[in-house]
This record gives sequence, structure tokens and C-alpha cells, in this order.
Amino acid sequence: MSLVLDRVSYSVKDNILVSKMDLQVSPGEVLGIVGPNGAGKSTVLKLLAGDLRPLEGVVMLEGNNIETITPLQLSLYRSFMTQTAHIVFDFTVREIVAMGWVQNIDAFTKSKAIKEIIEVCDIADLSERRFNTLSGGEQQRVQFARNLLQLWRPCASSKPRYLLLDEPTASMDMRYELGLLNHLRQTAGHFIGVVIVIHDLNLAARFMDRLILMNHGKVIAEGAPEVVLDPNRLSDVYQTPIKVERNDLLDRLLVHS
Amino acid sequence: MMREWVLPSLIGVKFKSGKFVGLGVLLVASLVAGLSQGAVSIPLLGLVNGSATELEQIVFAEIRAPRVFLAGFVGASLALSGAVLQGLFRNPLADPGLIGVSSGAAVGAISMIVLGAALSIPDWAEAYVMPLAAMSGAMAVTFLLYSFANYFGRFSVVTILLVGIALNAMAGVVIGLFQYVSDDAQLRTLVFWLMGSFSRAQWASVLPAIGVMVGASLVLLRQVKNLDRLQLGESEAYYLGVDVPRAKRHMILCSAAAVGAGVSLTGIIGFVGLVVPHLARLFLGSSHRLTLAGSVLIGASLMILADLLARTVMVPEELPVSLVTNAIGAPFFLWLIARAARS
Repeated sequence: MSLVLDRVSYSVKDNILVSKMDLQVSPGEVLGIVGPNGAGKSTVLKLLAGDLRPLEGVVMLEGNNIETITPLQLSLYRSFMTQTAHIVFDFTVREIVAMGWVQNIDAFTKSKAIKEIIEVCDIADLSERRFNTLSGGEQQRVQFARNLLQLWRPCASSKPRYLLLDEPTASMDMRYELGLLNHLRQTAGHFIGVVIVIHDLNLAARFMDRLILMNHGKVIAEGAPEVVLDPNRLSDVYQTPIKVERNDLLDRLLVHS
Repeated sequence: MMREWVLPSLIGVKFKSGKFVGLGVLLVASLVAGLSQGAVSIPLLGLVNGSATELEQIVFAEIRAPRVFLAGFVGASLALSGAVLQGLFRNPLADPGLIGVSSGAAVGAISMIVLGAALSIPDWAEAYVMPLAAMSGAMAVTFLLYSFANYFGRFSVVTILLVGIALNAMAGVVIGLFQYVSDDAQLRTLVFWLMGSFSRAQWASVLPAIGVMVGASLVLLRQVKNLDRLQLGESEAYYLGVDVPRAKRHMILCSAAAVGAGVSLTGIIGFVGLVVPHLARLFLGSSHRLTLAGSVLIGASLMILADLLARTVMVPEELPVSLVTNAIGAPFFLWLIARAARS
């Protein structure tokens, strides 16, 4: 059971964005994708989501080619939190969250799920406000709640699901950023595979089970954070001197320049 | 804990349904006013208990009723198509006129006004020739819009809007040419048609048009969830399970059919498709379930009232209905802009 990129390439005209890439994510794990700007991280997420069709190779969801799955079916298996887009008309926060409801179950269960998600995501105080009046960080919290609702199930489900996130905490303050990452760890516990593109290497080291370091559309390194976050390799990829050390007091890796 | 949750949502539903009852009452009131008032005022009760004169009965059945019902259905179709296109294009300025559908219908109808005399059309077909020509025009523009948008790339909203503007301009050229070559009598019919009127309504042509409008509107009303999700962006809608190309196809073809069928009988009527959805949003909220249902009710009511005004302000003369809708719509639109600028 997994979501897989199998020798996948993607390019726009002569510009190769992803080149012969392999990737596998399984339910229950949190996989971080890191790398400099333009490395192809967001493209990888769009390929995993089925939005972009690979020019070579194949994307497999639970053993099926993702191109053969209908959008409706696919929406029950994966959700994708993109970078927040502008919304033209005035919707309330509750309405935006409710758009994440894709299951065909009764309205009572639906309202129960929405209430639960709004509480869990700590956005009850925002729920009647207009989405467009929120700050960037608040909007990201609402979009995160909408994505969680999409994968919400009435009881402990053994059906694998996947949550993809593209810099979900870019506009959040420290409290909510840590809150969201902690939440992702719990989410993974519900048989959900999480793939997140993240820039902060300290948080990546602290919260991810596994990391993929990308550059120029290729995987440079893959494995546990301690393995991937090698100072020489990072300095080379980011083209700036980067140091990595283990802090025994905090019991975690610290990455700094 | 459950009660806490259920109660406010029930109140919310009641609150909204109260507003819908209000809109229903408005529609019934407009219908009654539209059917009874006019150059000849008709006692509706008299029709029921048989005390109405034969003249009143004929005026009601052959002239008044088809006209008022046509106005109601055209108003509802224009407003609904406007609401759907605004949602699809995520652009509060979108309306059936903007993507060229109305101009396409105009080209079809005007070509019949100017060239129709040269064709020998049998009498029985005369009522259908203009509507069919206008429908073909609307469909042709939609088809062009569709193929250009596909040809230019990923069927993006911006492409459709730009292609719509270009098609509008081309239709303008054709309409201008026809105006230039037409004689005085034709010109008068043509100008009247460009300003819209319900005065040509006869059951024979109204009923098929209503059939098309109702069919297309039912398809459009089924798009409420897709429209809501499209507000998050096209990719996001896809992630939420919307078959985006298919949804777009349905929305564009059905709004063209609904508008084309209406415009083919009435000529171009401005501002309804633009303003009514805004009214519905203002009154009921942005969720498309409410906006679309509200647009149908408000669009039908306002159009019936606008037509009533058009045929009663200067009896026995009749104003083109677009003068009325524009006269009401334009200042209202300015007010909307001012309101948006303030907030």
C-alpha cells in the first residue's frame, strides 16, 4: 500500500522540472521534501496528486495507475493543500471548511465532522468570519482544516489515504507552525501518508520520519534526517555554507549557517 | 453538546428559508401584477369565476399570459446563467453578454431581419425562423469560443474571457454591417430587437423556448457543489473530486442554450445577468446553492416587473425592456461598486 512515483519525468518545453524520479510514501509516515527554490518540489506534489501527467514513467496509487482513477474516486484517497489562492466571493470560514466534504454520507455526520475538525484545528473563533478578511496565516489554518475534513472518516478506517502539503506553514507564526506539524504526526497515525514540502530544515529534522533532498529535478539524497542533512551535501546544494550539529540537551539536529 | 450544534444550524436554515419564502411571495406578486395590469387591465378573479368578457379572456390567453411567462423564464435564465458564469470565471463582472453569447444570437436574428425577405419562408414557419436563427447564432459563438479556447491551450478562464471579447467585437462588425445595408423599416425592427422586447411572444414559439430554458437550467442547478469548489481554484476543485473540463463544458453549453433560447425571442436585454446574481449574493450569501436558487427567483420577478413597467409607462406606446433594465441596473451597479469600495 503506497503512493509511488516510478521513473517519472516532467518538463515544460525544454525546461526539465523532474527527471526520472522514484519516490514512495506509505500510510503512517511523514515524508518531507526539501531543497532550494526551483528544485522541482512543488512539481513532485502535483504529480503525486494526479494534477500533472508525467511525460515518462508512471504514478501509482495502491497499485493502480493514477491516470485511470476518476477525480471523484481520487478525492477520497488524497487531499492536497496548495499555497493559498485568492477567493473572489465572500464565503464564511465554515463554508470554506465544508467544501472539503467529499463523502456521500448523511448531513448529520457531515456537520458532526465539520464541528470536530473546527475544534481540533482551533479555528472555532474564526468560523463565522469572512474568509477574505483573515490574515495569511489564519487562511492557511482554515485551508488545513478543509484538507483534514476531506480525509476525515466516521470511524477508524483502514483505507489508506494521503495528505500532500505545499509549504503549509509559510505564513504562520511559530505557535501555529509547531501546532500544525504536531498535528501532522497525529494525522499520520490515522493510516494517512503525509508528504510535505518544507523550507525550514530544523523543523524538517525534528518532525519528519524521512526526508528527500531535491535539486534540479533530481533526488540528491533520501533517508532519515540524520542521513540526508549532511553539512557538506547541504552546503553544496544550497550553495551557501551550512553547519549541522547534534544538540544533546534538546536531543535533535540543529541546522544553521 | 449535540444540541449546541444542531440548534444554530437549524436557526440558520429557518432564517434562509424565511428569505426564500419572501422571494417566493415576490415572484407570485409580480406574476399577479404582470398578468392583470397593462393596456387592458384584466380581473384575474373574473377569469376564474367566468365573469370576464370574451375580449379579456382572449387578451389574457393569447397576449398577456405568453408574454408574462416568457419574461419570467427569460429573467430566470439570464440571471441563472450570469450567476453560473460569474462562479465559473471567478469574476463578478462575467455575464452572458461578456462571452459573446448574446451578440451571437443577435447576429443570427438580425441576419434574418435584413435578409429574411429575400428568402421565401412559408407562413407556418415564420414564427420559428428568427428564434432558430438566433439560437444558431448563440450556439455558433459558443462552439467557436469552445474550440478557440481548446486550441489556445488548457481551456483556462482567462483564455475564454479574452476569446469572448474578440468574438463580441467580431459580432459587432457583422451587426454594424447589417445595420449599414438595411432599409429604414428593417433598421427600425433591428434597433427595437437590439433593445429587447417581449411584445412578439406567442405560445407557438414561447413553449419550445421555455422547454430549452428549463432543461438547460436544471443542468446548471446541478452544478452548485462544483461551483463552490471551483472558487478555491481549478486545481483545488480537481483535488476535491470535480471533473473540471466536464463541469466547464456543461456550464458553458447550458448557459449558452438557456440564454440563446431566451434572447432568440426577446432580443438583447442588458444588466439582468450581471446584477441579479449580485443581489442574490447580497441577500442570501455566496454559497452557490443559495445564490443560484435566489437568482432564479429574483431574475424572474424583476423581469416580469420590468416588462410591466415597459408596457405601462406610456400606454399605448411600449418602451424597449432593455431601457428599463438598464435604467434600473446601471445605477444599482454603481451603488454596488461604491459599497465594495467602502468595505
